[in-house]
Amino acid sequence: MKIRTKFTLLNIVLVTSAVAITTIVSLAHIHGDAVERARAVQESHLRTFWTLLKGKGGTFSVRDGKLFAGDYLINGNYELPDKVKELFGGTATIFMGEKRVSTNMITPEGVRAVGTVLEGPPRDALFREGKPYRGDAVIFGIPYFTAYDPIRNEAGEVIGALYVGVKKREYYEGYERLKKGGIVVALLVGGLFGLVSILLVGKLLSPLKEMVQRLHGISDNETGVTDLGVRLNDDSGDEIGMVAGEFNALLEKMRQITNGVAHATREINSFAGTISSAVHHQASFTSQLSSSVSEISSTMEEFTSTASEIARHSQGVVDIADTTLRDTRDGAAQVETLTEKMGEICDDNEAGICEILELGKKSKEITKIMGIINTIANQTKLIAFNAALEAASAGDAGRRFGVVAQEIRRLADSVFESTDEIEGRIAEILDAVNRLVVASEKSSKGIRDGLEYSTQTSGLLRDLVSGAESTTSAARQISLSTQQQQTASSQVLVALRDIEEGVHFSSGSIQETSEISRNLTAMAVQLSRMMKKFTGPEEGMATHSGHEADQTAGVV
Amino acid sequence: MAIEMVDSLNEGSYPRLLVFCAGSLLFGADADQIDSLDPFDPDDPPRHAVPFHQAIGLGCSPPFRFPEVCTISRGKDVCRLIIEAPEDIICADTRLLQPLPPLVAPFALRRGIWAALPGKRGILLALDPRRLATERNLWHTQGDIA
Repeated sequence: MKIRTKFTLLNIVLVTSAVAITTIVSLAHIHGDAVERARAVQESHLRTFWTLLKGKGGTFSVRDGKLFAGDYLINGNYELPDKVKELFGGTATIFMGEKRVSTNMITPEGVRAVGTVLEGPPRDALFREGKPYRGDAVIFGIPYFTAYDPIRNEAGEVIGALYVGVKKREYYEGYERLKKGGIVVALLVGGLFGLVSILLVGKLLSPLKEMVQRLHGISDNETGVTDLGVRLNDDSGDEIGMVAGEFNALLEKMRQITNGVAHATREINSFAGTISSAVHHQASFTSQLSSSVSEISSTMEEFTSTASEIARHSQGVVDIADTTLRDTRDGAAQVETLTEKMGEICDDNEAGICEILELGKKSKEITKIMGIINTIANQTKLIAFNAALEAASAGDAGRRFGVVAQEIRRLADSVFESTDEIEGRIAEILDAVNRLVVASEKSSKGIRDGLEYSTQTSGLLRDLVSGAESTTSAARQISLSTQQQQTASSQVLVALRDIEEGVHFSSGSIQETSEISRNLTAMAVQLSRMMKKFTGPEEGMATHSGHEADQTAGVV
Repeated sequence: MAIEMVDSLNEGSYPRLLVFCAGSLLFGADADQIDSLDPFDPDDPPRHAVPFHQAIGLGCSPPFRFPEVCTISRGKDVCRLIIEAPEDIICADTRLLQPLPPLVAPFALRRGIWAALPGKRGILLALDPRRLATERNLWHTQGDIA
């Protein structure tokens, strides 16, 4: 729908609505006045009815089934209702209980409505609550303004009711006429104002129509090219002219923006190509990195396993080193004891050798003594020989002497034999002593060597203990270092797994980046194509950028 | 040490031999020719005393164990031989004495050895000390010796 039509309809609706609202408000006010006037009239009628009724009798009672006002019988007596109708028109009724006993109302059959019963809200208000009732009521199909008052006996009991009513139609006749006239006037005013509005709006919106035609010229629906060089006529000086001026400024800005967008598109294409290339290289590098990290992870797992083995073995080495240190200390103490014992043995052996040498000396002395004995025996034998020689020279006289000499010689031989035997034994003893001395010397030398070796061994063991302590310390340090290495390698393995996960994540990100790059390139191509639809003083720029975008898209 | 081959002391007709060792040989010197036996003092050896093994020409001989000086005299001449201490004086049975073989007898006689007496300990060579001294010119006058 055109703005002209909208403005025209809007004016018509507004004017019509204003007239209608004014009319409705006026009619409502008139209607309210009519109702108030009807109420007031009804109250006046009811007071008059009461005056007339109380003029017949001041008290009300029901006797023998009939209603009396004083002694004035009301049942079947239509004087007062007819009087009211004569004075004011309308309807009037006197109820005995809920039943009409005196009324000027005529049923549709044309008879007075005596004996009919009151129903609806009036009955409830009067006979249940003992209150008067004012309101609308439909009596025999005709709407009435009604007013009911209760009739009480001297005891104050409600024994009946007094009613007056006016047909609504009688009060609404002027209102209805006025309503019809108002509607007609409103329609006429609305139509007239609509015509005026069409003319005025057409006159006011004619520059806008021209602007729309110009704008149609900017965007060519057949080619889809938008000419940003078109400018609207902004000479009117009114708001439309201002809008045209603003629109021209907007077109200029759009042209500038379009040029900037075209330039940015070229840059985006270039960057997209660069990003794509970088992403490609990064993907390749990430793939290599992932492979390397996987290999490193595998190697580190083996390294961690090896480190665990080394840690376990190094702990075993520490235990062995502790055991070795303990055993070495025990061995050193044992060797110290052995050295002391060897020293004692050496001393004892030296003492034994001295004793043996002394024994040898004694034996040699015995030998000397035996030599002396042998010398004596030899001399004795020599004497015996000489005696025997002399005895032989003496002939028979020396025979006995020769026997003695022979015995002496034999005794000397016995001495020789004994001394020989003793010398043999002494020689054996000396040999034994010599062998013992030699053996003892050899043993002594061995013991001294052993003592020296023990001393050297003790020193070596002390050095060995020191070395074992250093070894134990080093083994513990190695074990600790190995455990730290194991922990470090585990942490490195965890870090490598994180890196591997990060590389996988990075690979995914690179894929996403590549996808984004492709999408960016496609968007740049699409943007270039869109920019081709904008023409202006630098229209070649958009076209050129679109061509580059196509080429770049081919690269990507 | 007895020489079992004889019991000369009971047989006065048998020659008595002074038995001694020189090296590995066993000699029996005629006891009747020996004047005396004296102990040998190495610090004061007697003059012209000749070791027996040198005198008889045995060459080198082990050192004496109990050397004694055997003195033989011929008139005023004296010969002193250093021998190992004699072991015994025996009376040799002439029936057991064996003459030396003719081939070696001339040479043996020049050393005073005139017969051989077999025994359990081997052959005992019967020695004539004076002949030895004569053959080897070992005689010295007593004045020279003293």
